[in-house]
Amino acid sequence: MGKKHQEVVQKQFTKTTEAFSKYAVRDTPEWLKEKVEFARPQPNEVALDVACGPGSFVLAIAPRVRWAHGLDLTESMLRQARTFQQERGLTNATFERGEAEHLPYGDGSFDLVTCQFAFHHMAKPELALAEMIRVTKPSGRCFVVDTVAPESDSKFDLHNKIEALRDPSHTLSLRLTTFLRLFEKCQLTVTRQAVRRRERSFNQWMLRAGLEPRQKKYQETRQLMDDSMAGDLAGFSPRPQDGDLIIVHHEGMFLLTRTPAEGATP
Amino acid sequence: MAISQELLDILVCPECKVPVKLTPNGQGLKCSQCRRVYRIEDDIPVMLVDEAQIEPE
Repeated sequence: MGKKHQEVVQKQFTKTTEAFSKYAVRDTPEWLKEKVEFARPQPNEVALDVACGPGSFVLAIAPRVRWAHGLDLTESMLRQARTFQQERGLTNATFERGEAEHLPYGDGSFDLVTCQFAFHHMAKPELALAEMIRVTKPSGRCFVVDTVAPESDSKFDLHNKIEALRDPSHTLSLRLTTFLRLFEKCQLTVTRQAVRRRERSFNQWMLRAGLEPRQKKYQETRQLMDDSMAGDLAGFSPRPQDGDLIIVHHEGMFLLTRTPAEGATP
Repeated sequence: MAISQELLDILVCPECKVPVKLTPNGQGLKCSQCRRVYRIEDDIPVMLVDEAQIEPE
């Protein structure tokens, strides 16, 4: 990650730590539970969540594995994660501060390496994925979760324009086909795949980015979202509800294994 | 909560990818190759190349 974009990410997530972790959580408890199950954690495993934010997934998976690590770039997110950890009395989780593109772990350190909703903040997600693969045991699994953008060019562009207006640390939400090509290029095999339709309140989504209705950026984003409604031009399927909007994100979940090299004994 | 041996066993310098060692004062993690020292803040290792200090020896 370039130093300038790294600063944008840290600034955005420092600003939004409280809203992000307390008032407008991304995942409902059911969605979080579904993701933990999807990753198929085992009691003897050591897991790492890259770009862990306030540690929701780390603390959800910790009771299911031997040890859970969380890594994030932003100091305030990790402090929040530690507070949540202490509240829950979990002793088998630790947090480290670092960059997804330069993981501070030795080769093959983990059985399970996860990364959720972070690729769309990266200029080069393939660098983070390569690092995730490096620190995963050859027999281990990577688990990538992220928003999936529309396939059509015009919807794709407007979708990402709205996302970037709301959150300056947003780089690009990828299409499903782009994710699959990326995994293939990195010699990963998709063993489980699902795309979930997640409905959420537009206002809550904005609040998570630190934006309230009185703010100009909120109003600009809302205007674009409203304008996209007829014909669903940005792929958010927005619909009005009590002055708010209900919008839809498609979330891709990919459980991946490292493909054996050609000619290797399976 | 101090840095556990288990964590020390897997932590490497994010630049050189060689294992880091706890400094004698227990406040940092040092890479033997590039001599960067990564500070430990509230038991959280700060493994960022830009925020590490390079020691002369």
